[in-house]
Parts: sequence; structure tokens; C-alpha cells
Amino acid sequence: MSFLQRLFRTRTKHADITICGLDDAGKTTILRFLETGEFVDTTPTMGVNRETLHLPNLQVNVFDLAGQEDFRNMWHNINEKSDGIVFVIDRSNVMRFDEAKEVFEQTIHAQLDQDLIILILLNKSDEPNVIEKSLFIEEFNLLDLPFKWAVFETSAKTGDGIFNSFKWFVDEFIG
Amino acid sequence: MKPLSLCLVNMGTRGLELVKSFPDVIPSDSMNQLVYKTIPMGSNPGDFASTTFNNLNLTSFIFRIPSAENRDNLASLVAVFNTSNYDANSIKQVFSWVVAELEKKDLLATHTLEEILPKLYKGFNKGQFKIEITSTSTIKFDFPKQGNDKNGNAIDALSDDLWD
Amino acid sequence: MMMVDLSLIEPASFFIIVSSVINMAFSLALVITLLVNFFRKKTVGTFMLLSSYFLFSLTSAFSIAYRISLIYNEGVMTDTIYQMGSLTPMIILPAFAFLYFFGCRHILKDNEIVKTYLFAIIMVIYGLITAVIAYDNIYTNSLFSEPTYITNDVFTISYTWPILVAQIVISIFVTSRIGIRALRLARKSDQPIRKRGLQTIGIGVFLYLLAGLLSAFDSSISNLPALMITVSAFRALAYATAYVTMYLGWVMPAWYRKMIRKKSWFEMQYQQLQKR
Ligand SMILES: Nc1nc2c(ncn2[C@@H]2O[C@H](COP(=O)(O)OP(=O)(O)OP(=O)(O)O)[C@@H](O)[C@H]2O)c(=O)[nH]1
Ligand SMILES: [Mg+2]
Repeated sequence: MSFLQRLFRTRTKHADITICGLDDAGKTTILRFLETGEFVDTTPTMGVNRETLHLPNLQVNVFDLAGQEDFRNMWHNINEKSDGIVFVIDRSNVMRFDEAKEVFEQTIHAQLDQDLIILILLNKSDEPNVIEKSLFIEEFNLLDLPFKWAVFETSAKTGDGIFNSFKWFVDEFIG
Repeated sequence: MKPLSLCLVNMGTRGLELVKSFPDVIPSDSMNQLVYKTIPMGSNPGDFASTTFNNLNLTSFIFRIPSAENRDNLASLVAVFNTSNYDANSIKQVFSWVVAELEKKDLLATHTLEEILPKLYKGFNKGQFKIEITSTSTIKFDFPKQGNDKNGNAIDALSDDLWD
Repeated sequence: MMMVDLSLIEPASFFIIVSSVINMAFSLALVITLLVNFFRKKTVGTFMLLSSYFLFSLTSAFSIAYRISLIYNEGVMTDTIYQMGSLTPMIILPAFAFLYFFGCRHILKDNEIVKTYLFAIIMVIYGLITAVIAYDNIYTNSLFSEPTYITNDVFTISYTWPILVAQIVISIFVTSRIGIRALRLARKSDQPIRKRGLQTIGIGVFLYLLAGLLSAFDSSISNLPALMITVSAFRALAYATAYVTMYLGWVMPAWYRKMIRKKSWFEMQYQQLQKR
């Protein structure tokens, strides 16, 4: 028994990832979609939600942070230890782009770990009037990012892009 | 079982905020801390919380306030005491029951809760409730004498003994 | 070591030995894992469970020793062998008492009065059995010596039947109640791991009861070799699965918990993709 466990343990990698973004961006909805495979009604996150994904050779600890202003100053405590960051943006909310950009830059610039992987999700793609991906990349100066990153268009309502984006992310960890 | 005050807390635009307290006797600097104690980190709808700070003791029930257009909100009903000698279990029962009743009648909304807070407070003092919410809807509640959940305890204890 | 002419061994006896050895191997494995769990947890509960299953595995050790010595002795009963055979019922009752008291800790809801009475009854039965066995060991040596049967139509029931009946009644009483309560608690629990744990305990305990009943049954049909062989095969199987199930339920090893845990949608999608 225990030798089986040991065998298992040596082969399984661990990764801590955090999901950041403004309140109401859809972070928790995305996390619930990963769990259940369907759209679930959420309530505002109180501080942080924690979930674990068990993949064949990788255990991913997911920290879904609260986006409300009062909680943002505690993000860096959790981000500090994380191997990857998922940044979620409500692409249908033009009014809050500037705020989102500011928070994004603060979050990214606080990161020191060179190997950090960043997954950016343009969420709520099912809504009308959304920002274009190419425009977004330009606006957020993603081409200057000193980290490995990717942008995906997602919808936690329909599930579009959710699997593919996280598959890319997870595969980066497995290497 | 006389609470010092009953409070309703919910998530505002920046973070947790007080919606209403009755009677409004808690100093505002205590209140600012209090709102964050009523819904601790990682809480989800359906959770209970109990804590002590600044010589205040509180027990809260955390629940979801449905919304048709926007996202449902997170809120808590809180009973604050200045003694630690109170029956937290019956507070939990009352709060969860009130929320469930309102939900059943499709009346679970911030403003309804605000309205019934004073009536709830009086009910705590009397040991029973009869609250008229609208002219057609009334909820009634008598405090149970003794009602602890034996099954839950047994499972917890077994789990402590063998598994966890 | 003295060689034994294998042809002397009756097939029925051989099968009983084999099934007892299987039984003991599994029960010892359970005892060891419970022991490990006890060192980890150091709770009275695990200790009681451990004591109970330790005694159970002792009984199978004694019954193996009894049969093997009988074979080495070419069927001739000596005082020592005889005493070895009569030890089993003396150990089984305390084993069930431990199990009962373990059950009383959380699972059963018996109040103090019921507990006291039950304990008193078990002690009285235990005292009576001890007295009978002691008397028999000193004066008659006839209780457990085969073949002394009262022949019934199909089954032959040996003189040991009052002891057997006491054992059966107590084992049914203790195990079925623990089993039923565990299953009932499982239904009320909404936490998947605890739910499955309690279910597993319930199933394991009932399988164990079944195995125990088959044992009692096959010791009462020792004059029907063919039936006895079938019964002991089933018995061995029942014991083995019972012990594995009880191990899963009582100990809940990490890998079992992992299995119970519901897989997330992403995990399932990811694994499907890998298979392709
Ligand atoms: N149309 C649409 N609505 C979405 C989508 N994803 C989330 N929502 C809605 O957006 C709202 C906010 O979702 P949450 O997941 O709770 O937001 P959050 O980012 O976790 O917010 P905080 O926990 O406050 O930081 C909810 O009403 C969701 O139903 C999406 O892809 N499309
Ligand atoms: Mg959230």
C-alpha cells in the first residue's frame, strides 16, 4: 500500500494557481464550471475559495480570489506563492476596462517569479458588444509582458473556451 | 436570550457593509470590524459563524439573497450579545428558518429583511415570533425547547475517532 | 517436523484449514492496519476496534492450530488439543463485547441502562460458558470431541449447540445493529466521504455477519463433506471480502477517499482527451 503511495507521490507534481480579476468578472463562475461542467449561479466571493483539481500527474490547487476592492490588497499574499495566475476580464463591461487594466498591471508587476505562467481570459464572450481580442492585447500591452502568457476567449455561461484555456495552462505546468 | 442587537450585513460594491442594525447601539468603529467577522474568509451561503471580539459575542447565518437581474448577493443575519452565555444553536435555527421561510414565499430580499429585523428582535425577547411581512404573508416560530442533531454529532465523533 | 500422510486428511478438514488460513491472513492484515491507525490516532475507539479484531483473528489462529494438531496427531485427541479447540468460544464473546462497546461510542444510541444490562447479560453468558467449558475440560472432555453427535435429519448438531447459539445470538445482535445504524447514518449524511465510509462500514459488518453465520453453519454439518466444502469456500470468500470492506470502512485509507471524491468536469474531460 504505502509503496504505491510513494510511487504516486513522487510522480505527482503540485501547482498553486490563483484566479484574479475585478469583482463580477466571472472568476467563481469559471471555477464552478471547471468543477461541474455547467453554469452555476454564484454569490460574491468572501475572501477566497479553494479547490483542488487532481489530474493524472498534477495536482492543481486553485485559489479563487475575491475581486472587491477591499480584498485586493490581500491578493499578493497568495499570488506570492503561486506558480500561475489566471486573470479574468469581463469583456462586455467597457466601463471598467481602465480599472481592470490598472489592477492587472499592479498584479503582474508585483510578481517576481520568472517562471510564472499567466492565463488571461476574456470572459462573457456570449454577451453582445465585447472588446476584440487583438485590441485587448494592444490595450493591455501584453506584448511587453516578461512572462509566458496566453489570451483565451471564454464564456462561463456556455462553457466555450473554458476547457481549452485551462488545458493550455495545465499543460504548461506538466511541461 | 436578549441580544444586544441584530444586524443585517451584505456585500456592497467595495466589500462587506452593514445594511441595518436594530437597535442601533454598536459603536461605528466596532461595527466596521464586526461586519467582517460575520462572514469569515471562505464562507459560503449556508454557513454559520460565531466569534468573540471587543467583549462582543456574535453568531451569524450566511445566506444568498437572490436577484433577478444581477448576481445573487451574499448576506448575513447577525445576533450580537455582550455575554458569552447564550444559546448559539437556537440563534442558528431561528435565522436559518427565517431565511428558508422567506425564500419559500419568494420574499427573500434585502428590504424585507430590513423591515422584519425589529420584529425579530422583539421575538428573541419573547421566545416566539409572529411576523407579518405583507398583509397576506405571516411567519410564525416558537423556540424549540431542546433540539440538538444527534445524527450529525455521531458522524462527527466517529469521523474524529477513526478517519480524520 | 514430522511428515504426515496427506491421504489421512479428510478433504473437508483440509478445506476448513485452507479457508481458516485465508480468513486469518485477511484478519491479521486488518489488525495490522488498525494498529497503524491506532498509533496515528491514539483514540479509545481505534483501540477497541483493534482489540476486537485482534481477538477475532486469534480465534481463527486457534482453530487452525486445533485442526493441524489433530492431523499431526493422526486424529487422536489429546488434552492439549482439546483445550485448544475449546478456547475459541471463550475469545469470541469478548471480541463481540469490544465491538459492541466500540459501537456504543458513536454509532449506537444505547443509554446507560441498556448498556449495563447488556454487559451483565454478556458476562453471565460468558460465565456460564466458561464454567461449562472448564467443567468439561476437567471431567468429561466430551463437549468438543468429534464425533459425538445428536443426529438430526439433515444436519448433525453437536453438543456445543448452546454455546453456538449464544454466539450466534450475540453476534447477530451486535453486528446487525451496528450495520443498520451505520447505513442509516450514511443515508442522513450529505458529505460524500463520510456517507461512503458509513456505507462501507455497514456493508462490511453485514458481510462479516454472513461469514460468521456460515462458520457456525459449517461446524454443524461436519458429517456432510461435500456441503461442508462448498460452505467453507463461501465462508472464505465472505470473510475475505468482509475484511477488505471493513478495512476500507474503518480505516478509510487515503487512496479510498481519493476514489470516492467526485471527479470534476475538467478532470474527466482531461483524462478522456489523454486516452484518445
Ligand atoms: N453572460 C455571462 N455572464 C457571466 C459569465 N461568467 C460569469 N457571469 C456572471 O457574472 C456574475 C459574476 O460572476 P462571479 O463568478 O460570481 O464573479 P467573480 O469574478 O467571482 O466575482 P467576485 O467573487 O466578487 O470577485 C454572475 O452573475 C455570473 O452569472 C459569462 O461567461 N457570461
Ligand atoms: Mg468570486
